[in-house]
Amino acid sequence: MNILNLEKRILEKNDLIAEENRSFFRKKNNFVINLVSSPGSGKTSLVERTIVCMKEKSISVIEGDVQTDLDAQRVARLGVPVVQIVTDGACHLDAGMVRDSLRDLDTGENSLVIIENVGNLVCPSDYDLGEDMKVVLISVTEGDDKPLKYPAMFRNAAVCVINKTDLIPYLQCDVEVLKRNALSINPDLKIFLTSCTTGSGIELWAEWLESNVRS
Amino acid sequence: MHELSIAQSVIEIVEETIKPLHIIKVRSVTVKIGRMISILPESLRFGFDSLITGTALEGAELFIEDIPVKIKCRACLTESGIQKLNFICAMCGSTDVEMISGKELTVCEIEVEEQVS
Repeated sequence: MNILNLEKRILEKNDLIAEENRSFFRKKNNFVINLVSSPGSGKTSLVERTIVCMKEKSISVIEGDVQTDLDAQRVARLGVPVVQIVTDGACHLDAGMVRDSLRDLDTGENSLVIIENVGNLVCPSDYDLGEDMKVVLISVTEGDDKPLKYPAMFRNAAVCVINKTDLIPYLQCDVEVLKRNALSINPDLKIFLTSCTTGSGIELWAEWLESNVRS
Repeated sequence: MHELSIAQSVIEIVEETIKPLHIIKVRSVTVKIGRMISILPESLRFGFDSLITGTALEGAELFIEDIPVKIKCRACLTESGIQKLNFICAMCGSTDVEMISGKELTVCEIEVEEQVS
């Protein structure tokens, strides 16, 4: 009987492809966000609002969905390049899917690329896609304890967008508690408050994105 | 939910490792999983056991090492564990900390039987 020491990272193949994607994006000066959330938090609505607000800037979108291309259709109506990845049941995007999708997408130069992940706060946190940062979106209807329930995602994200703020008067959710919980998991989180229904907070969010698009 | 594909990757890593060697049986596989990795050990074990049938790993046991989160304080440089996922230095209370363990997801060792020549 023999023991062999491997010390091999299980997601090494994914991470190698993610690095390829990252150098692809770097060459084109793309600022890339990996947008993650639960289903129904408003990812596609935020993408739409962002596109409308940043109409002077070049944006392209990679949409991830388990079954349909409905989200890509919504984004395409706004006239930006978009590609849909249908995962056929898989609960997250991986770097290989993103690499393949780039064959059908012109990401432009000095531009923003939004990767909208599959709605899931668990699995996507383990997969590097080659993005600059993960942005976790949470809506106030999900409750202020959500960061504590999904700590890995909040720890791995650089930015947290709290959405549906127009509903705050009707809910038990305490936004200050929500922020405090998110910051206890990740004190470096940058937090934005938005409502994709009223448009509140979208400008600040878009300004911050623009400041990150390297020109 | 992605434990099945992680189990598949574990098996592929082991198969690639033993391919050039004269190994007739894999007795066990040990993986390390950090607490900040979204993997359920029981689901991973179920996936592993389901997928090893008919491979060189058939019958192998999967050992899962659970790696707790450890942080290092950027202010006082103390290394400590954390309570209830509060990323706060146990020594000085600073929140300016970096995570030094808890994100492991590795195949660390395998126990094999080699062919006797």
